[in-house]
Amino acid sequence: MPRSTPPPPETLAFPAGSLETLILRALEVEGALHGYGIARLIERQSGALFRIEEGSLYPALRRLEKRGDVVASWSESDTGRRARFYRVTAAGRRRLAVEKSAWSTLTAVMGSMLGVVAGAKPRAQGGAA
Amino acid sequence: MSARVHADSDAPRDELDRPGQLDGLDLFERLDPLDRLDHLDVEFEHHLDMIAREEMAAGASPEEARERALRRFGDRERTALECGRIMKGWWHMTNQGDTAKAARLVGVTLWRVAVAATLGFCVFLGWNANVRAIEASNLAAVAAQRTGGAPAGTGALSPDDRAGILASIWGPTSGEIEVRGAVMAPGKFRTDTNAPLDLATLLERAGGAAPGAKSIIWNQRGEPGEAFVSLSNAMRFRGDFNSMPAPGSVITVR
Repeated sequence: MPRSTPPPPETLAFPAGSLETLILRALEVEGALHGYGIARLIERQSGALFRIEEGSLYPALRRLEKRGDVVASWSESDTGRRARFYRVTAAGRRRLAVEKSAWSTLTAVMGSMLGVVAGAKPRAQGGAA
Repeated sequence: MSARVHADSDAPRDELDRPGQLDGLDLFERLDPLDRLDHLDVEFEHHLDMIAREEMAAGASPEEARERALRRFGDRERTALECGRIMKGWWHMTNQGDTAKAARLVGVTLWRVAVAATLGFCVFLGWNANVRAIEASNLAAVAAQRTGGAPAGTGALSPDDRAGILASIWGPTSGEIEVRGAVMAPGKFRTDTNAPLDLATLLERAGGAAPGAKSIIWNQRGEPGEAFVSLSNAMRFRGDFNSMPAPGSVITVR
Protein backbone atom coordinates (compact mmCIF):
# COMPACT_ATOMS: atom_id res chain seq x y z
CA MET A 1 0.00 0.00 0.00
CA PRO A 2 1.59 3.30 -1.03
CA ARG A 3 2.34 5.65 1.83
CA SER A 4 2.96 8.83 -0.15
CA THR A 5 0.16 10.95 -1.68
CA PRO A 6 -0.42 9.76 -5.23
CA PRO A 7 0.07 12.34 -8.00
CA PRO A 8 -3.06 14.00 -9.31
CA PRO A 9 -4.60 12.09 -12.19
CA GLU A 10 -4.14 13.31 -15.76
CA THR A 11 -7.84 13.13 -16.33
CA LEU A 12 -10.85 12.53 -14.15
CA ALA A 13 -13.82 10.30 -14.75
CA PHE A 14 -17.06 12.18 -14.96
CA PRO A 15 -19.27 11.70 -11.93
CA ALA A 16 -22.46 10.06 -13.07
CA GLY A 17 -24.98 12.51 -14.46
CA SER A 18 -22.61 15.45 -14.31
CA LEU A 19 -22.07 15.76 -18.05
CA GLU A 20 -25.53 17.19 -18.55
CA THR A 21 -24.95 19.68 -15.76
CA LEU A 22 -21.66 20.75 -17.31
CA ILE A 23 -23.32 21.15 -20.70
CA LEU A 24 -25.99 23.36 -19.16
CA ARG A 25 -23.30 25.42 -17.46
CA ALA A 26 -21.33 25.77 -20.70
CA LEU A 27 -24.44 26.96 -22.50
CA GLU A 28 -25.31 29.32 -19.67
CA VAL A 29 -21.87 30.88 -19.93
CA GLU A 30 -21.53 30.99 -23.71
CA GLY A 31 -25.10 31.42 -24.91
CA ALA A 32 -25.26 29.29 -28.02
CA LEU A 33 -22.77 26.54 -28.84
CA HIS A 34 -22.55 23.56 -31.15
CA GLY A 35 -21.42 20.17 -29.87
CA TYR A 36 -17.76 20.74 -30.64
CA GLY A 37 -17.85 24.13 -28.91
CA ILE A 38 -19.41 22.58 -25.83
CA ALA A 39 -16.73 19.89 -25.69
CA ARG A 40 -13.95 22.45 -25.97
CA LEU A 41 -15.47 24.73 -23.35
CA ILE A 42 -15.89 21.91 -20.84
CA GLU A 43 -12.31 20.89 -21.46
CA ARG A 44 -11.07 24.44 -20.93
CA GLN A 45 -13.21 25.06 -17.87
CA SER A 46 -11.97 21.89 -16.23
CA GLY A 47 -8.35 22.75 -16.95
CA ALA A 48 -8.29 19.72 -19.25
CA LEU A 49 -8.98 17.40 -16.31
CA PHE A 50 -12.27 16.38 -17.84
CA ARG A 51 -11.70 14.77 -21.18
CA ILE A 52 -14.76 13.30 -22.69
CA GLU A 53 -15.31 10.95 -25.54
CA GLU A 54 -16.81 13.68 -27.60
CA GLY A 55 -19.52 11.61 -29.20
CA SER A 56 -20.99 11.00 -25.76
CA LEU A 57 -22.06 14.63 -25.71
CA TYR A 58 -24.80 14.02 -28.22
CA PRO A 59 -26.93 11.54 -26.28
CA ALA A 60 -26.65 13.90 -23.32
CA LEU A 61 -27.70 16.82 -25.51
CA ARG A 62 -30.63 14.82 -26.83
CA ARG A 63 -31.73 14.01 -23.29
CA LEU A 64 -31.52 17.69 -22.34
CA GLU A 65 -33.48 18.60 -25.43
CA LYS A 66 -36.07 15.99 -24.64
CA ARG A 67 -36.51 17.43 -21.17
CA GLY A 68 -36.81 20.94 -22.55
CA ASP A 69 -33.64 22.13 -20.83
CA VAL A 70 -32.06 23.13 -24.13
CA VAL A 71 -33.37 24.09 -27.54
CA ALA A 72 -31.49 23.58 -30.76
CA SER A 73 -31.48 25.34 -34.08
CA TRP A 74 -29.49 24.99 -37.26
CA SER A 75 -27.15 27.74 -38.20
CA GLU A 76 -23.88 28.31 -39.99
CA SER A 77 -20.73 27.90 -37.93
CA ASP A 78 -17.53 29.91 -38.25
CA THR A 79 -16.26 27.46 -40.82
CA GLY A 80 -19.29 27.99 -43.04
CA ARG A 81 -20.72 24.54 -42.35
CA ARG A 82 -24.17 23.89 -41.04
CA ALA A 83 -24.12 23.15 -37.35
CA ARG A 84 -26.72 22.59 -34.69
CA PHE A 85 -26.50 25.26 -32.00
CA TYR A 86 -27.89 24.62 -28.56
CA ARG A 87 -29.19 27.16 -26.08
CA VAL A 88 -30.25 26.72 -22.52
CA THR A 89 -33.91 27.37 -21.77
CA ALA A 90 -35.47 28.88 -18.68
CA ALA A 91 -36.23 25.36 -17.49
CA GLY A 92 -32.59 24.46 -18.06
CA ARG A 93 -31.44 27.44 -16.03
CA ARG A 94 -33.69 26.41 -13.18
CA ARG A 95 -32.39 22.85 -13.33
CA LEU A 96 -28.82 24.15 -13.36
CA ALA A 97 -29.48 26.27 -10.28
CA VAL A 98 -30.76 23.21 -8.46
CA GLU A 99 -27.75 21.16 -9.58
CA LYS A 100 -25.34 23.89 -8.47
CA SER A 101 -26.88 23.94 -5.05
CA ALA A 102 -26.77 20.16 -4.79
CA TRP A 103 -23.11 20.05 -5.89
CA SER A 104 -22.20 22.77 -3.45
CA THR A 105 -23.71 20.81 -0.59
CA LEU A 106 -22.22 17.55 -1.79
CA THR A 107 -18.68 18.88 -2.15
CA ALA A 108 -18.85 20.60 1.21
CA VAL A 109 -20.05 17.47 2.96
CA MET A 110 -17.62 15.18 1.15
CA GLY A 111 -14.75 17.59 1.75
CA SER A 112 -15.59 17.72 5.40
CA MET A 113 -16.00 13.97 5.72
CA LEU A 114 -12.79 13.20 3.87
CA GLY A 115 -10.87 15.87 5.71
CA VAL A 116 -9.85 17.73 2.56
CA VAL A 117 -10.47 21.30 1.52
CA ALA A 118 -13.49 21.50 -0.68
CA GLY A 119 -13.69 23.82 -3.64
CA ALA A 120 -10.09 23.37 -4.84
CA LYS A 121 -9.60 25.08 -8.15
CA PRO A 122 -8.83 22.91 -11.14
CA ARG A 123 -5.28 22.84 -12.40
CA ALA A 124 -4.35 25.77 -14.55
CA GLN A 125 -3.89 24.82 -18.16
CA GLY A 126 -1.31 26.83 -20.03
CA GLY A 127 -2.57 28.64 -23.11
CA ALA A 128 -6.25 28.00 -22.48
CA ALA A 129 -8.31 30.78 -24.00
CA MET B 1 -8.29 29.84 -17.92
CA SER B 2 -10.11 32.77 -19.42
CA ALA B 3 -13.32 31.72 -21.05
CA ARG B 4 -15.32 34.32 -22.90
CA VAL B 5 -18.31 35.00 -20.70
CA HIS B 6 -21.71 36.22 -21.70
CA ALA B 7 -24.08 37.09 -18.96
CA ASP B 8 -26.94 35.73 -20.95
CA SER B 9 -27.87 34.11 -24.18
CA ASP B 10 -28.36 36.35 -27.19
CA ALA B 11 -31.55 34.56 -28.03
CA PRO B 12 -34.83 36.35 -27.39
CA ARG B 13 -35.84 35.67 -23.81
CA ASP B 14 -39.26 34.79 -25.04
CA GLU B 15 -37.93 31.91 -27.05
CA LEU B 16 -35.86 30.61 -24.19
CA ASP B 17 -38.59 30.99 -21.65
CA ARG B 18 -40.96 28.85 -23.60
CA PRO B 19 -39.25 25.61 -24.39
CA GLY B 20 -41.21 23.15 -26.44
CA GLN B 21 -43.42 25.74 -28.08
CA LEU B 22 -45.14 24.62 -31.25
CA ASP B 23 -42.85 25.91 -33.92
CA GLY B 24 -43.63 25.31 -37.58
CA LEU B 25 -40.17 24.23 -38.67
CA ASP B 26 -39.55 22.29 -35.51
CA LEU B 27 -42.85 20.50 -35.92
CA PHE B 28 -41.90 19.65 -39.49
CA GLU B 29 -38.62 18.20 -38.25
CA ARG B 30 -40.39 16.20 -35.60
CA LEU B 31 -42.73 14.77 -38.17
CA ASP B 32 -39.77 13.47 -40.10
CA PRO B 33 -37.62 11.28 -37.84
CA LEU B 34 -35.56 10.01 -40.78
CA ASP B 35 -34.66 13.56 -41.59
CA ARG B 36 -33.55 13.93 -38.00
CA LEU B 37 -31.19 10.99 -38.39
CA ASP B 38 -29.73 12.76 -41.41
CA HIS B 39 -29.34 15.80 -39.23
CA LEU B 40 -27.41 13.69 -36.76
CA ASP B 41 -24.97 12.75 -39.50
CA VAL B 42 -24.52 16.38 -40.48
CA GLU B 43 -23.98 17.28 -36.86
CA PHE B 44 -21.40 14.55 -36.31
CA GLU B 45 -19.58 15.45 -39.52
CA HIS B 46 -19.36 19.05 -38.38
CA HIS B 47 -17.87 17.93 -35.09
CA LEU B 48 -15.36 15.62 -36.78
CA ASP B 49 -14.42 18.35 -39.21
CA MET B 50 -13.73 20.73 -36.35
CA ILE B 51 -11.54 18.21 -34.54
CA ALA B 52 -9.70 17.45 -37.79
CA ARG B 53 -9.03 21.15 -38.33
CA GLU B 54 -7.67 21.33 -34.81
CA GLU B 55 -5.41 18.34 -35.43
CA MET B 56 -4.21 19.73 -38.74
CA ALA B 57 -3.41 23.02 -37.07
CA ALA B 58 -1.25 20.98 -34.70
CA GLY B 59 0.63 19.55 -37.65
CA ALA B 60 -1.24 16.38 -38.58
CA SER B 61 -1.84 15.46 -42.19
CA PRO B 62 -5.49 15.44 -43.36
CA GLU B 63 -5.62 11.64 -43.16
CA GLU B 64 -4.08 11.56 -39.69
CA ALA B 65 -6.33 14.37 -38.60
CA ARG B 66 -9.41 12.51 -39.74
CA GLU B 67 -8.25 9.35 -38.02
CA ARG B 68 -7.60 11.17 -34.76
CA ALA B 69 -10.93 12.94 -35.03
CA LEU B 70 -12.73 9.63 -35.36
CA ARG B 71 -10.81 8.28 -32.38
CA ARG B 72 -11.57 11.28 -30.23
CA PHE B 73 -15.20 11.25 -31.20
CA GLY B 74 -15.65 7.64 -30.13
CA ASP B 75 -18.03 5.03 -31.43
CA ARG B 76 -20.05 6.99 -33.92
CA GLU B 77 -22.48 4.21 -34.71
CA ARG B 78 -23.26 3.52 -31.08
CA THR B 79 -23.71 7.24 -30.43
CA ALA B 80 -26.08 7.52 -33.39
CA LEU B 81 -28.08 4.54 -32.16
CA GLU B 82 -28.28 6.00 -28.68
CA CYS B 83 -29.40 9.35 -30.03
CA GLY B 84 -31.92 7.63 -32.28
CA ARG B 85 -33.33 5.75 -29.31
CA ILE B 86 -33.73 8.97 -27.36
CA MET B 87 -35.16 10.81 -30.35
CA LYS B 88 -37.65 8.06 -31.04
CA GLY B 89 -39.12 8.38 -27.59
CA TRP B 90 -39.01 12.11 -27.92
CA TRP B 91 -40.71 12.01 -31.28
CA HIS B 92 -43.66 10.13 -29.85
CA MET B 93 -43.80 12.29 -26.79
CA THR B 94 -43.47 15.62 -28.52
CA ASN B 95 -45.87 14.75 -31.27
CA GLN B 96 -48.47 13.82 -28.73
CA GLY B 97 -47.76 17.13 -27.07
CA ASP B 98 -47.93 18.93 -30.39
CA THR B 99 -51.25 17.35 -31.25
CA ALA B 100 -52.67 18.61 -28.00
CA LYS B 101 -51.14 22.03 -28.60
CA ALA B 102 -52.46 22.12 -32.15
CA ALA B 103 -55.93 21.18 -30.92
CA ARG B 104 -55.76 23.92 -28.31
CA LEU B 105 -54.54 26.36 -30.95
CA VAL B 106 -57.45 25.53 -33.25
CA GLY B 107 -59.87 25.82 -30.33
CA VAL B 108 -58.50 29.18 -29.27
CA THR B 109 -58.56 30.45 -32.85
CA LEU B 110 -62.16 29.38 -33.33
CA TRP B 111 -63.08 30.99 -30.03
CA ARG B 112 -61.42 34.26 -31.04
CA VAL B 113 -63.16 34.24 -34.41
CA ALA B 114 -66.49 33.64 -32.67
CA VAL B 115 -65.89 36.50 -30.24
CA ALA B 116 -64.82 38.83 -33.05
CA ALA B 117 -67.86 37.87 -35.14
CA THR B 118 -70.17 38.46 -32.17
CA LEU B 119 -68.63 41.84 -31.46
CA GLY B 120 -68.85 42.75 -35.14
CA PHE B 121 -72.50 41.74 -35.21
CA CYS B 122 -73.20 43.83 -32.11
CA VAL B 123 -71.52 46.83 -33.73
CA PHE B 124 -73.62 46.29 -36.83
CA LEU B 125 -76.78 46.08 -34.73
CA GLY B 126 -75.84 49.28 -32.97
CA TRP B 127 -75.11 51.05 -36.23
CA ASN B 128 -78.32 49.80 -37.72
CA ALA B 129 -80.30 50.90 -34.67
CA ASN B 130 -78.68 54.32 -34.94
CA VAL B 131 -79.68 54.60 -38.58
CA ARG B 132 -83.21 53.55 -37.82
CA ALA B 133 -83.38 56.06 -34.97
CA ILE B 134 -82.24 58.87 -37.26
CA GLU B 135 -84.71 57.75 -39.85
CA ALA B 136 -87.49 57.66 -37.27
CA SER B 137 -86.47 61.08 -36.01
CA ASN B 138 -86.63 62.51 -39.52
CA LEU B 139 -89.97 60.92 -40.13
CA ALA B 140 -91.25 62.28 -36.85
CA ALA B 141 -90.05 65.76 -37.76
CA VAL B 142 -91.76 65.63 -41.13
CA ALA B 143 -94.88 64.33 -39.50
CA ALA B 144 -94.79 67.15 -36.97
CA GLN B 145 -94.39 69.67 -39.77
CA ARG B 146 -97.37 68.28 -41.60
CA THR B 147 -99.54 68.10 -38.56
CA GLY B 148 -99.09 71.75 -37.66
CA GLY B 149 -95.88 71.72 -35.70
CA ALA B 150 -96.87 69.51 -32.85
CA PRO B 151 -94.65 66.46 -32.49
CA ALA B 152 -96.85 63.69 -33.68
CA GLY B 153 -94.50 60.79 -34.13
CA THR B 154 -94.25 58.64 -37.14
CA GLY B 155 -97.69 57.27 -36.54
CA ALA B 156 -99.14 60.44 -38.03
CA LEU B 157 -97.77 59.58 -41.45
CA SER B 158 -99.62 57.47 -43.91
CA PRO B 159 -97.75 54.47 -45.26
CA ASP B 160 -97.41 56.26 -48.57
CA ASP B 161 -95.97 59.35 -46.89
CA ARG B 162 -93.58 57.21 -44.97
CA ALA B 163 -92.45 55.33 -48.06
CA GLY B 164 -92.05 58.58 -49.97
CA ILE B 165 -89.95 60.19 -47.27
CA LEU B 166 -87.79 57.14 -46.88
CA ALA B 167 -87.29 57.05 -50.60
CA SER B 168 -86.31 60.69 -50.51
CA ILE B 169 -83.81 59.96 -47.76
CA TRP B 170 -82.24 56.92 -49.28
CA GLY B 171 -83.02 57.23 -52.93
CA PRO B 172 -81.61 59.51 -55.64
CA THR B 173 -82.05 63.19 -55.01
CA SER B 174 -84.46 65.30 -56.89
CA GLY B 175 -84.78 69.04 -56.85
CA GLU B 176 -82.13 71.26 -55.37
CA ILE B 177 -80.85 71.97 -51.89
CA GLU B 178 -79.27 75.29 -51.28
CA VAL B 179 -76.94 75.27 -48.32
CA ARG B 180 -75.29 78.50 -47.33
CA GLY B 181 -72.05 78.29 -45.50
CA ALA B 182 -68.31 78.53 -45.79
CA VAL B 183 -65.79 76.25 -47.34
CA MET B 184 -63.44 75.85 -44.40
CA ALA B 185 -60.75 73.95 -46.18
CA PRO B 186 -60.55 71.52 -49.04
CA GLY B 187 -62.79 68.74 -47.94
CA LYS B 188 -64.67 70.66 -45.29
CA PHE B 189 -67.74 72.79 -45.56
CA ARG B 190 -69.61 74.19 -42.66
CA THR B 191 -73.10 75.58 -42.74
CA ASP B 192 -73.84 79.06 -41.42
CA THR B 193 -75.25 77.75 -38.23
CA ASN B 194 -72.72 75.00 -37.83
CA ALA B 195 -75.63 72.81 -36.93
CA PRO B 196 -77.93 70.42 -38.72
CA LEU B 197 -80.26 72.39 -40.93
CA ASP B 198 -83.87 72.36 -40.19
CA LEU B 199 -85.20 69.25 -41.79
CA ALA B 200 -88.48 70.72 -42.90
CA THR B 201 -86.75 73.73 -44.47
CA LEU B 202 -84.45 71.48 -46.37
CA LEU B 203 -87.24 69.29 -47.52
CA GLU B 204 -89.12 72.33 -48.63
CA ARG B 205 -86.14 73.69 -50.56
CA ALA B 206 -85.28 70.40 -52.10
CA GLY B 207 -88.75 69.39 -52.92
CA GLY B 208 -88.63 66.66 -50.35
CA ALA B 209 -85.18 65.56 -51.24
CA ALA B 210 -82.67 66.03 -48.47
CA PRO B 211 -83.23 66.12 -44.76
CA GLY B 212 -80.75 67.39 -42.21
CA ALA B 213 -77.70 68.36 -44.26
CA LYS B 214 -74.79 68.91 -41.92
CA SER B 215 -71.77 69.45 -44.06
CA ILE B 216 -70.30 68.93 -47.45
CA ILE B 217 -67.34 66.67 -47.64
CA TRP B 218 -65.27 66.89 -50.77
CA ASN B 219 -63.40 63.98 -52.09
CA GLN B 220 -60.15 63.18 -50.38
CA ARG B 221 -57.85 65.27 -52.58
CA GLY B 222 -60.12 68.29 -52.52
CA GLU B 223 -60.41 68.23 -56.27
CA PRO B 224 -63.49 69.20 -58.23
CA GLY B 225 -65.64 66.24 -58.84
CA GLU B 226 -67.68 63.99 -56.73
CA ALA B 227 -68.59 65.22 -53.29
CA PHE B 228 -71.01 64.33 -50.62
CA VAL B 229 -73.45 66.15 -48.48
CA SER B 230 -73.32 64.44 -45.18
CA LEU B 231 -76.73 64.31 -43.63
CA SER B 232 -75.86 62.19 -40.67
CA ASN B 233 -73.45 59.42 -39.90
CA ALA B 234 -75.38 57.16 -42.15
CA MET B 235 -77.00 59.39 -44.77
CA ARG B 236 -75.25 61.04 -47.62
CA PHE B 237 -76.32 62.82 -50.73
CA ARG B 238 -74.05 62.69 -53.68
CA GLY B 239 -73.42 65.61 -55.99
CA ASP B 240 -71.09 66.49 -58.81
CA PHE B 241 -69.16 69.74 -58.82
CA ASN B 242 -67.23 71.18 -61.71
CA SER B 243 -64.93 73.37 -59.67
CA MET B 244 -63.87 73.91 -56.14
CA PRO B 245 -66.08 76.62 -54.66
CA ALA B 246 -64.42 79.58 -53.00
CA PRO B 247 -64.96 80.07 -49.29
CA GLY B 248 -68.37 81.45 -48.65
CA SER B 249 -69.80 80.03 -51.85
CA VAL B 250 -73.34 78.89 -52.06
CA ILE B 251 -73.30 75.21 -52.62
CA THR B 252 -76.03 73.65 -54.60
CA VAL B 253 -76.51 69.97 -54.52
CA ARG B 254 -78.66 68.37 -57.14
